[in-house]
Amino acid sequence: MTHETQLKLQAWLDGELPASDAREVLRLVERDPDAAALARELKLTRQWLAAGETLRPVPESREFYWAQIARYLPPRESATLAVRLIAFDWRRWLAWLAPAAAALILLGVWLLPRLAPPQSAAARAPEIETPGEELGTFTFRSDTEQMTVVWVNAR
Amino acid sequence: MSRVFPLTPRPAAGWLVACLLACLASAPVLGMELKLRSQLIWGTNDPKPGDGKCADVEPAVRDRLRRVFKWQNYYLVKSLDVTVTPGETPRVRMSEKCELEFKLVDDFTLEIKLFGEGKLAKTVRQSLQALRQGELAVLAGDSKEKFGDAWFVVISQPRK
Repeated sequence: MTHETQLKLQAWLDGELPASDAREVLRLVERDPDAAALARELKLTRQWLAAGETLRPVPESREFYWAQIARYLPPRESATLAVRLIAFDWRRWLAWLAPAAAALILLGVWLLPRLAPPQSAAARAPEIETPGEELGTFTFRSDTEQMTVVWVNAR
Repeated sequence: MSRVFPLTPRPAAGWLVACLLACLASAPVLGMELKLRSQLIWGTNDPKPGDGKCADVEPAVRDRLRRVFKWQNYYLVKSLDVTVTPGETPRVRMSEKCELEFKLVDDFTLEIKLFGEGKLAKTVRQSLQALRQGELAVLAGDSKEKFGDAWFVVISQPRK
């Protein structure tokens, strides 16, 4: 009897074979003494296991046992959770950027008039003060040469 | 959450960075200083004297003076670099009779005072923006020592 035949016989005893195969195995057991002996032995073994197997209770409770398994299983909503995490993180970034932007705007408002002169200042000619009467002055500017000249004359 | 995004900052850090940026950005204004070059120049049509007291004016300034004034030769008598800071009025002596005093009036205006023989002769105000753009502020007059010649005090920002 081949190993495959032995497995088929075991499946027949467990009731796992389709009807056609089951009839074939039944005929084999009826005509082959080795097959009949194996079938008898397997039946006895199953009966002994069913009657005499010792129950060994797990020390942890059922709930604890399944909680340990559930802890290491990946959550089914992992994608949704990731999106939620990113959205939450953006709020934190906004909380950081908002005061920074506000401070920069205030800084810009404060700096702008200091860095860029008013138009009146850009167009203003040099102011000249001559405290004494003994000097005369005149001013001219050369735009092409970028030069402002104050000419001082002794009277 | 922090395991997923360990570098997520706290809002207080934003204020800290903003204050730091503000300090950095305002530093140039608060600590503004102006570097100036003051040159006493003699303008003449005569050749350069051989006594070695005068040097040649840098060509860029000389050419600009030539295009504005009638003199063809410009010799450097003295050149001084001066740094003007807010609240200070540095004074430089260009010759025995001529002194200059500088003052930053505001963020846009430089005040130049010309002293002749110790007496205030002129007060001139010059746009800082123009100076930064290469403007020459020139105080000038006829030479008392040699008829037909002229003296020039040219104030500019030195090129880096």
